[in-house]
Amino acid sequence: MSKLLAVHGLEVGYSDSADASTYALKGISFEVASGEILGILGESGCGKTTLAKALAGTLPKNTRHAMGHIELEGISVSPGAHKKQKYDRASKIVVISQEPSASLNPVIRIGDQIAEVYRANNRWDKTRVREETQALLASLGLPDSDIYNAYPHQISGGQQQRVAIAQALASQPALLIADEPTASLDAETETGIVKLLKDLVLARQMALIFITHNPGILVDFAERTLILYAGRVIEYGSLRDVFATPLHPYTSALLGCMRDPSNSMNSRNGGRFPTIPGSLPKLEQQHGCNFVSRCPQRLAVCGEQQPPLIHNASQQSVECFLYGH
Amino acid sequence: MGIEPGTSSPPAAETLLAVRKLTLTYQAREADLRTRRTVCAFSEVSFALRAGETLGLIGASGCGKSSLARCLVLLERPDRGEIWFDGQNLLALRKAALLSARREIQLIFQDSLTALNPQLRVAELVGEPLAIHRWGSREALARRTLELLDQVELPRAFLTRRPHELSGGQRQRVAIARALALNPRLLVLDEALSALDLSTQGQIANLLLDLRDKFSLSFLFISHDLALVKAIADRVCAMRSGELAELQ
Repeated sequence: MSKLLAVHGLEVGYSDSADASTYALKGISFEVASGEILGILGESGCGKTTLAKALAGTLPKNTRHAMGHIELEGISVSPGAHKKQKYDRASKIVVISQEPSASLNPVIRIGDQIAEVYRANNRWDKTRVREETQALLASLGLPDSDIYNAYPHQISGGQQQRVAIAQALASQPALLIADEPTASLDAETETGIVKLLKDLVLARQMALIFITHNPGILVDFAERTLILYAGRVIEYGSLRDVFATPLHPYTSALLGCMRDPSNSMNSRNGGRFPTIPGSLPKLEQQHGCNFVSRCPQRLAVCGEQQPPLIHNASQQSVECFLYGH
Repeated sequence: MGIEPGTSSPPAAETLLAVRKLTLTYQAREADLRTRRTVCAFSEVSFALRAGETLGLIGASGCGKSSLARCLVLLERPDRGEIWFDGQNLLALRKAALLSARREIQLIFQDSLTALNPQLRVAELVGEPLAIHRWGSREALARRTLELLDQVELPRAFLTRRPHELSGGQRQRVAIARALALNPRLLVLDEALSALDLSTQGQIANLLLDLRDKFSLSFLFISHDLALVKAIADRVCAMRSGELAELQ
């Protein structure tokens, strides 16, 4: 598989914080190949959405700094919102967001919203645009002509997310970033969307970055995973290795919170839900590991120095003193 | 306890909530935005909940779960059917009796950011139901507000914060404190944990379990997450296309 995206040392900070030393992302490095699915896992506030925006070049105006190196198809692009690059990048990297109703215009019919993307990217006549739009909708399981003419509020949440995916695919992106696309959907619809994305990656050989807070979704879906905690990559590797033998104490704790419907735990028998004690720390330049206050395996050195990134034989990386200094 | 047949006499004494043949319809607009059609949210739904029991309710989006929750606290008026709570038919109650019955059933929503008024501080948010139901003097109200914050394990320093200054889990704790303010007997939790991270979900679920035991609360726990419902509930009902059936 050829390398599509390479990110090295990405750092982003916002200006609404009075303290100049705070950041949203720090020292982020990873690669994505064409046809690959990378699952990014992390809790609310750990920087998942900022990462999606930095890659797509759509960071908001209150961004104080965006540094680091992003290479897309061998060409270096800026993590900030660079005007010319933004236009070039828009057709190559597309983000679909958590709330499909927010990404669709409420007063434009579904078909016209997708046709708009085709018109912006191609010099096709009206008939061709309509045919391509109908074919795309049909390929995503929305063959009904009623959907083409419907307004977003007239279709269900799952259908809205399919339309948002159709709109994203209309520009034929090389990389699709799905930022918690199933968070507002029920379990059955979620399974349908995940299967659809998996089939699309296979059929179109595009890359997919799937961002979520739920490790369960990534099983049998993503090939590699990157665990974000407090704006840093704390573990990175093949999904099978990371889920089978998590190295970082945070990864172990997060995977330990997963629930299984066949599990017989019941609150009436004194059963308790597994949790990670404490909450996400303030993201500021500090000495030591960000997870130190919540870590059950902390060492004396953890609060004093930033842990090094350690790679093991099976290409699994972890930022933790437990595996060396 | 099975699903009870519809009658107009009060249910057995140990039954806290009995819903009988409840039906709700909405008027929806067609695609042309002019013609209206009748949409059935749920039809002939019956179930009973014992005092101290947790009943789980699962179902896909759009199956009528939230409409049912809204009916139980009378935010929606059903078309037909009966809602019996503690021996009283809620739909037959007049203003004063209804206000007093409403204290006993509280609803917690999924999205705490839209459920809480963004302009109010935590002290006002938690104290609002107390003020509406004339809890007592200003001092008694302030004392009760602090007590509620302790019960949901929020630091007292949060009293002056507004919803946007809190995390999702902290906001849901405020919503729980607000719901507990009037010493209710039944909490209707409508996807109350669905918008939270897995570990925060666990923290809030454990808090709810502690409060359930401490105050002998009954829960109607609505969610689309079967694993979560099975772990919390004593019995589980499934709603599909507006109809209810108990899972074995």
